[in-house]
Amino acid sequence: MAEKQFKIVLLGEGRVGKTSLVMRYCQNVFNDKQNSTVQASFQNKRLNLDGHRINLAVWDTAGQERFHALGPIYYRDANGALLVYDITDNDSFVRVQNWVKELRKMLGGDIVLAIAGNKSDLERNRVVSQERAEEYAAQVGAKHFNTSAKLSKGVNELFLDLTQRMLAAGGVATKRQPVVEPTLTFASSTENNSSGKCCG
Amino acid sequence: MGTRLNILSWQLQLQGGLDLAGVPSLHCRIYVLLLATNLNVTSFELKLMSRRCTHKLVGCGDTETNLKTSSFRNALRGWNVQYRDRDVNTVGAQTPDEWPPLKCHKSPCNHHVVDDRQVKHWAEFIQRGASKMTSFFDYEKENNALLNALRDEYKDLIKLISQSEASIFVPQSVSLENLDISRDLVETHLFYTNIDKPTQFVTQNGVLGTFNTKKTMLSVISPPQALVTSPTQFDPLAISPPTLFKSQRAQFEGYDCDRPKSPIHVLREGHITFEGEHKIHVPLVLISEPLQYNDCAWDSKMAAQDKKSKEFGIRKHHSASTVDLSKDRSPERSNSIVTGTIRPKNLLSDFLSGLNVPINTPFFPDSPEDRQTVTADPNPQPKKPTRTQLFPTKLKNAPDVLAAIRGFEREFLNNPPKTIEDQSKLFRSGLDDIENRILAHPLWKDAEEEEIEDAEESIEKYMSNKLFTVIFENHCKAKETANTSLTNRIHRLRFIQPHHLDIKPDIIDEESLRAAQKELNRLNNYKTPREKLYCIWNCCRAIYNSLKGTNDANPSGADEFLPILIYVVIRANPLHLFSNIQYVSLFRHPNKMITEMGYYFTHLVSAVTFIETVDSKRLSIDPDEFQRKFNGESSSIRGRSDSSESVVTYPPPRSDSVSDLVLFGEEDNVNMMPTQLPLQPTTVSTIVPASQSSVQLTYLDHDYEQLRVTDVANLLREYKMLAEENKRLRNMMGK
Repeated sequence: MAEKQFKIVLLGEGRVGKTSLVMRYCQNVFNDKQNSTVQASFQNKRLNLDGHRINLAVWDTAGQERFHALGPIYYRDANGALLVYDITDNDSFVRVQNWVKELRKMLGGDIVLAIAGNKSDLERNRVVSQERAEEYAAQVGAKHFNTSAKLSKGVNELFLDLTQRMLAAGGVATKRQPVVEPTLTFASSTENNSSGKCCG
Repeated sequence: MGTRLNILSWQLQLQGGLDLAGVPSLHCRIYVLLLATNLNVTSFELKLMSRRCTHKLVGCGDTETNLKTSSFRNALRGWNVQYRDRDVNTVGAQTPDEWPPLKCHKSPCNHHVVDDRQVKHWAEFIQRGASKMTSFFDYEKENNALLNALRDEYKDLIKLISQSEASIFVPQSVSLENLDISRDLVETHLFYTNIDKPTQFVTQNGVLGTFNTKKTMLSVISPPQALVTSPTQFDPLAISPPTLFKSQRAQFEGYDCDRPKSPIHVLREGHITFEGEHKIHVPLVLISEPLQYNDCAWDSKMAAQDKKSKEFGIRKHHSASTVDLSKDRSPERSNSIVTGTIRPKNLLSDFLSGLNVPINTPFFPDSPEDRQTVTADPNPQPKKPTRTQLFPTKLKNAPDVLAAIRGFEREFLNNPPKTIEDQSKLFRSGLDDIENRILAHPLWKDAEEEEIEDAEESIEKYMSNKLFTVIFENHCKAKETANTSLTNRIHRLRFIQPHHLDIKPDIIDEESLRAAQKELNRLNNYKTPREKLYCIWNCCRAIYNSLKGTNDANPSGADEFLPILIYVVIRANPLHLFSNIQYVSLFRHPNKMITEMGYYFTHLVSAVTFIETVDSKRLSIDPDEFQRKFNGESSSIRGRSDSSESVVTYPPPRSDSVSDLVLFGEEDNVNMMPTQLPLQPTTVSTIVPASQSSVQLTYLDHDYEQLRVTDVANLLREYKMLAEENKRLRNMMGK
């Protein structure tokens, strides 16, 4: 059975917890108030879904404004994008909107989008209302999730849904299929003399 | 000192492709030589440092183990160096093994340091060996039978030469074997050229002949003409062969000198000095075989020799059979003799061994892909010990696949596409074709995915090694501007400190930064895209390994990583960074670019793109301070430059920016591109070194013992920058 490989690019302003989110999903750890050398920049996750073997490659990106222009370098060839904002920080939600605009412009409908309102454990400090976020997501053809990396809420659902939609959009099959008729035949005239030399 | 310098530069020419015209000092040549040695001969690395005019040789084995003197000898063994031991005064001790033992003492930093005298010793050995190798011409001058006969028997002819304008044809020794050196033969080889038509010559005994216009061949037009009737009675004043040029003009003009009949090859031109009462200096032309004409005394013997040669399957022309002499002749023959060959062993020549013995393997850690497979897969397959040998073994039994590989290599080398993009397409399609052959091949019918991947890797590695020169080195040359301007730009941004990128000071330690920098500086040392990717990955891993997680709910991710990488790239400023990036992105299998390796490569591209476009707005820095530092703080020539037209513009031209390699190429997306930096035009003042030194001389305060082999590339780069700045400065002063 062929394994399908998907590339998911992770976009979100610094400090919204995008790295924690992926760590929670891929390694089921949450790194709260402790020093850790576990790094989470690039994560692989293998899973079986609807009879498919799937490998997710999650690419973390630097969310600082000064690196904004570098986004396209990361999200080219991506099958999915996970956009993360902090529900207690309106600016981070505005950034998400900017990225969505960019992604749609550059990749059109080819990329599957999910938006995560992270830090749902800090509900009382919420400034981005859920209705507003969901309405926006629906507008741009994305799906919205409330997540808490800390409490491990909504994380699995988010990735599962994203994967399902990427699967529906068609993934990259990594298993190679033999082509019986080689298209290039440049070597035919030189087969004899070269083979002897190399094996000898 | 002078001769040593010559010899070294000569050897470097042989290494091919290294232009040393811009490297003026002996010290640099030596260490470039050693660098070249490293790249072309063996993985052994050597470095020669110079400090206050003493040479220190600090060498490392490939895993930074201590210098083994035998490695140096092995490196030289490939050159087939021969030498004559002056003290013993015998020709012998032909192999480096028989050289005098080298004395080493241990230095505090665990390298073996070889002392100055030993280095001189080695240089002398190389020099002597080299002169031995190059001097077949000298050998001929000393030992050629014809010249010996002139010296010993026909001194009157030397006298004749001294009184006339004659030159000497010297048939190479091999061709004179079994021939009596008769007076007639010698006279046939003393010749005069026509001053009006330099291709025409007549010999002392009146043979007419002509060179072709390029003077690479000559042929005889006619046997001795009547003028010289009594060759034993010489009166040079009465008998002047050059008069034949006039009297036999018709013969000369009726002959097409560029379509010679039975041509004789010209091997070398030079001069020979005859000692005697008066030293005379005579032009000499070394030729492949003696001149002949009908009924000459040596004609029959030559014919017999030819017949014998044919029996042994040797071609008639000695020039062709004695390959050492003729085939190494440089196309532009010069009168100097400095054109011999020392051929380094081509370690990659054997394909199978190339596959079995991965180059530079000790430098590489386990592949991260392998590592992931093991950790992610709950039931990892035990690796077969013979996995790496599996492909070469099978390949032996698959001549068609092997032929396809060879055929593609040949096709590519014979007719490489012009642009690197087309090269990349051909490269990938050729590799795909080979891969398809493998997949369709019965031997690989039941092969596991991993085995196929190994095979692909092997082929990609082999092919990129083989095509490296055509692809990469040419690209570096073609894109020299892009490479240089990126290097220069990085150089001018070297004032950037961690806080400008908001890197928290406690997040990473200096040692890790240095390690990462070191890894990145190796980038240019490797040939295959995969190796280069590993190099990048190693750099990134060095950064990650030391990244301390921050003290809140945010583990370190790309937010922390990218700024540090940018900082490391600026500090490292690797050689040919632009070309390296383009090479990897175009020649690495696209499937591999989605993996962790590809991810870190993308980070590097991203870092370089940032560097290409950065301005004060993207740094935590005061705009004025940025401009000032970016433009260099020297104001000494500023007044002058304001009126000057000689404005050098950075940043690099858009079409050659790294971001173009990976971004979307369409025009309407341009506004999404990182905006090009509205830099002030770079003026003369900016490329003039700042009052102290704008070239970062990292090693200025280093002692040689602190230096590692891996620093060589950096040293060379810094040297080049220094030389460049110096050149520019001088040019500007000239204006």
